Amino acid sequence: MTARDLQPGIADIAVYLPEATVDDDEIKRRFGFDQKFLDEKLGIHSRHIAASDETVADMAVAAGARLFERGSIDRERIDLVLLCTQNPDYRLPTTANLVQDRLGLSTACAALDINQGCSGFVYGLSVVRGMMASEGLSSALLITSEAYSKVMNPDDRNTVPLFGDGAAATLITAGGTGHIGQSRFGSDGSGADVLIVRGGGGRYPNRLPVGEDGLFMNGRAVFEFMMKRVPRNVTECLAANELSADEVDLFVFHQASLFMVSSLTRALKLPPDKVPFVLADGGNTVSSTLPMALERIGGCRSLAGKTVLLSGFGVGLSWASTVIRFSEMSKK
Amino acid sequence: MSDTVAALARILDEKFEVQQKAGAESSFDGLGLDSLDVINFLYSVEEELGVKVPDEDLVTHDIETIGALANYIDARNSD
Repeated sequence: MTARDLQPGIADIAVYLPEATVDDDEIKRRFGFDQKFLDEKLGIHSRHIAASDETVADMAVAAGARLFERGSIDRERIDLVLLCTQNPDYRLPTTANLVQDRLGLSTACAALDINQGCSGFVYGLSVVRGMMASEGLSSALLITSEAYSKVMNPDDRNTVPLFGDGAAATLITAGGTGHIGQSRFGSDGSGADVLIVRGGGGRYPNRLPVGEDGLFMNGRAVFEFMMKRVPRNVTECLAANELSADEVDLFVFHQASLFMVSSLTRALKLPPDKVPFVLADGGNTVSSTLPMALERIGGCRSLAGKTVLLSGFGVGLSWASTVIRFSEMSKK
Repeated sequence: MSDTVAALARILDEKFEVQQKAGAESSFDGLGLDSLDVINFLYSVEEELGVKVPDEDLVTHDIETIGALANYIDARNSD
């Protein structure tokens, strides 16, 4: 049996969160929120912030190194590293190339970035699954790494309380126990302006000071987008995987905030105990919230035998859902 | 109570744990709605009553009470 004969599946997840944190006391002091609002609406109590000299690549390497340290796989066996980020270390080269070198991966390893936000983990799973199947690859790292703290306006009460920095390294192997199912995607670029950093790209090459051109988020528009697009996408994903909602053990939604996850839960009429919100420590880490949530729930071992629907949505506007069927783990 | 106020009160009653029975004089603050509750409420209003209330109109039309919101909706519907 070759790698082509085995379904790509999630085998392990490792997480890196920077050391410095912004806790609720600081958020209340800076922005005047009360604790009830922080508890009941944001559900986020601690946001980790990358050091001034700590980049997306640094965090990606740290997360990847943790996978190797725990003996999940020999690094020489990695055939592909896919890095999802919207804040690359340089305009070029691709940050995944930097990560390949610093993790000591083989030079036969494929490496590329995808630029996507909160939907990036699901998109990334699909890309990895496709490349593994088409090219007969046996092992891949999907690393999501984001440092929105470097592009946020520090005085913006709409974004600072929500977003945190961090990285997750997901090991996907031919035969991994978290079988990646069918995905359903969506895009609506007409909503680009509701969540945007304008400077530093081709349109406005020179970065403006973050006070003038920080991350802009229209929270109401993002909420309405989620309510209009995501329930249908989840329903379509269930149908594509020939599942009813009852047959899904957990719905792991992008952990944008407790308010967003709760609203989506009600819109889909899901039992709340099937919809975890587990990133009170960490916050909205963009493309990393889904793998971080899976890891915090207990990873592949805890999820053995369970069917999980993942749904990521946000900047773009972009959305994507998939199903992971975790098989029972063999007893060693 | 006008039909629109009654409809808004029904939405609040069905979907939000408001602190008191809503009427025309009820303010969002007085009903215990925070900024995210208001976003959620206006979304439900758009879905059920077909009228979107842009952020800027909340300010320029001083929409701080259920009655003010009902008047705004009625004016939009008569355009």
